Amino acid sequence: MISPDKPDATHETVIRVTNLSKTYHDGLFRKRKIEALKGVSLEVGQGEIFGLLGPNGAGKTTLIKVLLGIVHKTSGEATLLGQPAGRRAGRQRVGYLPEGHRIPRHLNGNSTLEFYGSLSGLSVAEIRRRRGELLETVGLADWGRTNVTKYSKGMLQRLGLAQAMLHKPDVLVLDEPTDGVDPVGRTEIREVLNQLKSEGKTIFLNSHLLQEIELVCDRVAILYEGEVLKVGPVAEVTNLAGDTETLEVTLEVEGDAETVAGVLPEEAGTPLRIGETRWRVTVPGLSQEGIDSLVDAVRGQGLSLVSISRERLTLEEAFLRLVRAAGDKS
Amino acid sequence: MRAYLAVVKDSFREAFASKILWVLIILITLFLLLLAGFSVNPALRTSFENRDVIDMEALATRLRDADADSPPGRIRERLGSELKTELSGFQPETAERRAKFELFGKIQDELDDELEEPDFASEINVADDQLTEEALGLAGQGDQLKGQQQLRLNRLVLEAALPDDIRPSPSEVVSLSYMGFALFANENFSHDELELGINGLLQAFIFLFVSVIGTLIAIVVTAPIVPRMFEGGAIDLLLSKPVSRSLLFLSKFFGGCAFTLVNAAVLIVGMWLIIGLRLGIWSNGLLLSIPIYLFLFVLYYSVSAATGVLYRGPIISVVMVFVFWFLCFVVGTAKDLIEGLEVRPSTVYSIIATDEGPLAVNMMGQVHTWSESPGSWEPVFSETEEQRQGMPGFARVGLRMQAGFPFVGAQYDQQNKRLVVLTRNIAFPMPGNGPSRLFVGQGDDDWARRGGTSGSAAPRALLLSPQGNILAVAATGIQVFVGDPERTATSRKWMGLDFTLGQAGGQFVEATPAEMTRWQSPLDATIDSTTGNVIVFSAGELIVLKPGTADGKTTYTPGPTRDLETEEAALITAAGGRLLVALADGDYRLFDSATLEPTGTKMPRGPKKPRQAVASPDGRFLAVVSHTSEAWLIDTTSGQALDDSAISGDIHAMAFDGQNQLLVGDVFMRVTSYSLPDFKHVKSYDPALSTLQAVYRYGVSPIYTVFPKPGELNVVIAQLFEDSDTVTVSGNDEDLQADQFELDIQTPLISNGAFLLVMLALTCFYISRKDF
Repeated sequence: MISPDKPDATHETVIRVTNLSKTYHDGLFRKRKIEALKGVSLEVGQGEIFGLLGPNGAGKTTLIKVLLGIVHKTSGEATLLGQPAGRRAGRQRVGYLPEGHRIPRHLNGNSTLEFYGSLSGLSVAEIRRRRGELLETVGLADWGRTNVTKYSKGMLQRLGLAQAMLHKPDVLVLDEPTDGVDPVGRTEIREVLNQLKSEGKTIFLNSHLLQEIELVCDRVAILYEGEVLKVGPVAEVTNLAGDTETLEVTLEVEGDAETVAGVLPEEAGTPLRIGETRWRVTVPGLSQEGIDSLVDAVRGQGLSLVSISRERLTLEEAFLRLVRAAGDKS
Repeated sequence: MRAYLAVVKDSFREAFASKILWVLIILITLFLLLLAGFSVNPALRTSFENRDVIDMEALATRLRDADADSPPGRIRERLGSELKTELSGFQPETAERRAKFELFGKIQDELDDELEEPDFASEINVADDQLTEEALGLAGQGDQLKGQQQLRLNRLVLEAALPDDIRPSPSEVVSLSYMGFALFANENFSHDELELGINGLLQAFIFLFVSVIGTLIAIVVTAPIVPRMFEGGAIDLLLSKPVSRSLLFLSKFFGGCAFTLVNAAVLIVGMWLIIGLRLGIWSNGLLLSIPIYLFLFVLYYSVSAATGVLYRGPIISVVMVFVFWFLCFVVGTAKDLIEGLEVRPSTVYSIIATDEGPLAVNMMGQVHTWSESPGSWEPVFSETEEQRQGMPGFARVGLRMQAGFPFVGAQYDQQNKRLVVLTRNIAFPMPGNGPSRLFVGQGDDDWARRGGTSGSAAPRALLLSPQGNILAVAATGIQVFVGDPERTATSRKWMGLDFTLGQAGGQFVEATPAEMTRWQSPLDATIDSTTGNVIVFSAGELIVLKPGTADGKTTYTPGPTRDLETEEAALITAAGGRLLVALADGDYRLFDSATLEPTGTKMPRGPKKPRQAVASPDGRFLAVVSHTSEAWLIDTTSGQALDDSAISGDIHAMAFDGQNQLLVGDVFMRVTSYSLPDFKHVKSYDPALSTLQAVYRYGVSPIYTVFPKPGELNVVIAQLFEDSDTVTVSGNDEDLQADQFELDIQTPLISNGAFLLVMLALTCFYISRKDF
């Protein structure tokens, strides 16, 4: 059983964030405060693909930077691979692809991997042994000797992903990895991520392409104005557990029009005739009890219940609903 | 370590990827190709120039007096009849200076012409034992001699005929050519002359093209490196790696010097190779200037990098470097200006202990006496309008600044209770030049300056004998002043001509044997007042000259000598039978002043480049102050150096008074007296500071001390080429009394190094705390 905000208990926790806050100070005398993270708590288990969602300015990148020690936390706890966030031992086992990363213009594919690989502690010989296969994996097999100034945005993303994978890290932190990548490339990157997952790697993904997240992530967290709105498996987030009143139920019933209209509650929409005596009707805002009594009423009036289905929200819809609800509250 | 080396390696990769680097490399290569056009060709020195003459007056006198049968006489006979007539009537003591110079010019011209005559060598007929091996070798070839070789033989014969007057010329000289075209009208140079000239040019080149223009280019080109590293998307990727932020920055910083290193190395090593291979001069100073230049660049680059980290923009980095440079320039210029205007002129260069208290002489040669009320130094012994010889005051100031301390000596004559001063002769062909003059002044006459008799040419020391005789020591020997030094002899200069207005009160008369060999530079002399012996240091040799009388005249006869087997210059001082020789390399030795036997007292090493050596009247204490303001004091009874830590300040002069008390002269005309050997403070003559002096002492000087001094790294480069820790203003390194500026390597290296460390430490601290 997977708990909503924790990984599978059988998996070792790789990232643990507890009540994490980060406040930036800005302005001439650093008087203006910007609370980027407000008591964020979440855990990511080994082998998970974890997605971090949130609108711009939600604090997603700040959270990643705190985990990697690029930004110093203000309060709370953050650990990465059992090490306090920012420790070199933790960073040693992490591959990071920042959003909008810049690779120095004097490098080519090969020398990029040589440079960043060396920074990760690999020997040049080791890098040279791995880079061919790696460039092939990310679809840049023929581009190793080409200067990065000749690369398209998508190719630079692939090269960035390659440098993040080069030292075979246990955790990959990818900030918008498919940014600028064409649909075919995205599929390829998804395959790479699934491959990494199958190798037991943990992937912490930050993307605004919600479909991507939905397709690859095991669990997601929705961050809004520095706070976690929801953490859990994608299905749970989209079901919006405990909030079924807002869901719609669609019924297909067999019977005459009058009887059908008689059993439907007031909030039900106008039944749509889809056969001789077959009707489809959507009823919004039904609780489980409401569904049960509706089914009872249908059967009690001698109508045949052909099908009943509850509407599933897409992640995007769920995300928007959650964010709008949070926005209304604040 | 691997990670940081990768950053450095990447910096080189970045440098080599830079188009600007290749453009500069191409320009440097073109410059080196142009430089490679220079070459040297073996030549023979055959001509006779003014610079070959040791003392023109002595040469003229010798030619005038030479026996017709002697080689100098035979040379005279070959001169034109007009010149011969002029020579026979030549009286150096009375001849006008203009006439003298005209005569000297003619002698040089005619001798140079004579050297072109094929029969010169055979006619002059110098004895074989007087000839050098080179001359003998040439002479042995007889009629086989080719044109240039014959001329060379003539030149060698001339040197052999007049060995005391003409400097021996180097046997190996070269002429300089460019792409096969002779340069400098076939003028030839010895290796040393060429090296001196080339080193001077290289020094100027390094200063102008490398440290000014080179640094400017390097700063502009390297300014984007650090800001680029700290751009969003680049820095977070770097910081996500398992590396230290500070080391990452430092690796990038030093890697950023790769561009400069490559350019400087290609240019300077290229120049070193070309100059070495083409001209035969392997200038190590040139190679050593690479790290100094890099240090200079690193200093500016630390400002650029710190700004780059703070503001992430290359333009503001360059602007901040200029602001930094400008601040350093302003502070340095303010310091130099105030030092030139106020500090150096108000520095005590000489102290004369008199019965009426000490007299302090500043570097302008202005004598001051202490006035208790209001507690200040009052100028005395000032030149009168006549003594000034019509020369405007500012010109004299300029001249004195050029020539250094204007007195050969200033002594107090205990017997006659008077101050005796011999001024330096200024031989430069410029306004205000003239012979040295003797002046006296008495305390009860308010130290008014009297006299003005012309002294001998180029005196090197003024001494007072126990009998009160005034002695001047020059290369030609000791001269005793005969007459009344107070009688004024004045001359006025008008339209470049001297007009003598009064009769001289006396004259300096040679007191050493006429046949005595000239003393050589470096030269110094002292007198032991207990014995009256004069001791002379002449090019590493000590000579005692004992006083006597002959025909009613004072004479000095050479006595014991001792070869110190050194080529160093030295200052000597004697008292109480002891003679201190302070060699310029810091080797100080003590001898018996009469026998020149070592006393056996082990002398502690003293400071290099002594500028004043003094002895207490009884000879117990000896003191030396160096050009680098270091003091050295010894008690000869114990042979121990005295702990002079009680003396503070920038010591420039020391003297002993009649009570064996030490007087120490400082900047701002401060004189302090101490009793010895306990260094108990006796009295301070400490005048109030002027406003400018106060600004210097409490403002400019402390700021300058803590401020980085990138400009002073050029001093370090100068030192690499000069191979000396001081530089003379007069150009005569052998004259330890001449003003010398300290070439201080340590201070610029330490202060700039400290600045660099502070800048890097602050930048690292900022980076470690910063959220990126």
